[in-house]
Amino acid sequence: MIAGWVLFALACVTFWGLWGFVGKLTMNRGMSYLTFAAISSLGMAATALIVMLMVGAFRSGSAASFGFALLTGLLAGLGIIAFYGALERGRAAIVVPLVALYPAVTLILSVTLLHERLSRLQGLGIALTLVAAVMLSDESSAETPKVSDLPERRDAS
Amino acid sequence: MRDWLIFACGGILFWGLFGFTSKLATTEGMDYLTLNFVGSSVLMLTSLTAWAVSARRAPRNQRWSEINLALAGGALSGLGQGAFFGALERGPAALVVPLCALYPAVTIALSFAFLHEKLSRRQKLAIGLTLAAGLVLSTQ
Repeated sequence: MIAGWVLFALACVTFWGLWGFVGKLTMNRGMSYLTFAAISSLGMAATALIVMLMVGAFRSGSAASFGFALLTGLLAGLGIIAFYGALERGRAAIVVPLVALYPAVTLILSVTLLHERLSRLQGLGIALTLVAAVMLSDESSAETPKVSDLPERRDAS
Repeated sequence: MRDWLIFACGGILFWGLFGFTSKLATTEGMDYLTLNFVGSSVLMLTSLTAWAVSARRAPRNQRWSEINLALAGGALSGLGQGAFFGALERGPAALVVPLCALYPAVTIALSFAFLHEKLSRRQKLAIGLTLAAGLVLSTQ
């Protein structure tokens, strides 16, 4: 029996995978990283609002939960800025696999502060995901210029 | 310390904390769809600020076809983030965050299928590892 959270996680992997593909299509046409991040964030917030209104789920919980939600959005945005800042200054072949290690931070905090327990098999699964995440970001087969070396945009035709 | 390394460490720290604070918001009682809206709104403000500050990257005569694609990408990202928060509401962050971090496998597979991009040997192996990891984590 597959747990409910797994189905949500698989949906997440699918949607984010499609997002990455559409992002690739957009940037292949000349749009810069930061412009794509800014414009797509508009579509993201609009979609989140529409889905929330359609489902009619409004459970804000405690004041702390609202603070954590605001912090969550801010951290996601700062993560994007830091990631693109690193790409602008360093080589993608090094930066991308390094940043792919971010789940390790969540893992450490969840186990130490939330006291989440993992079975040995789950530990093996997490180790596999971390290795796979770093390997997925392999850029060695391609040219890996700095973002600042990339063309900013293609002229409108 | 090189400045790119400082930024990369910032990326690891901010995104790692993002997974953790998302879990805290759900454990404090907020439903995942409200969290998705609040989080997306703040993310939007942060992204637009970064874009506005970085004036040299401001678009000039950006074409509508590209803007529409970016908006469609954002919609997919919003759905993905909603599912991510839904998974966090129901499962442990220590498992959800690493599993969801495997989404590049889908992007790579689609790029291979539709854009005819070549896969390196490491990427092929990584996709195999991704499937194995997904199987191990999802059958618990």
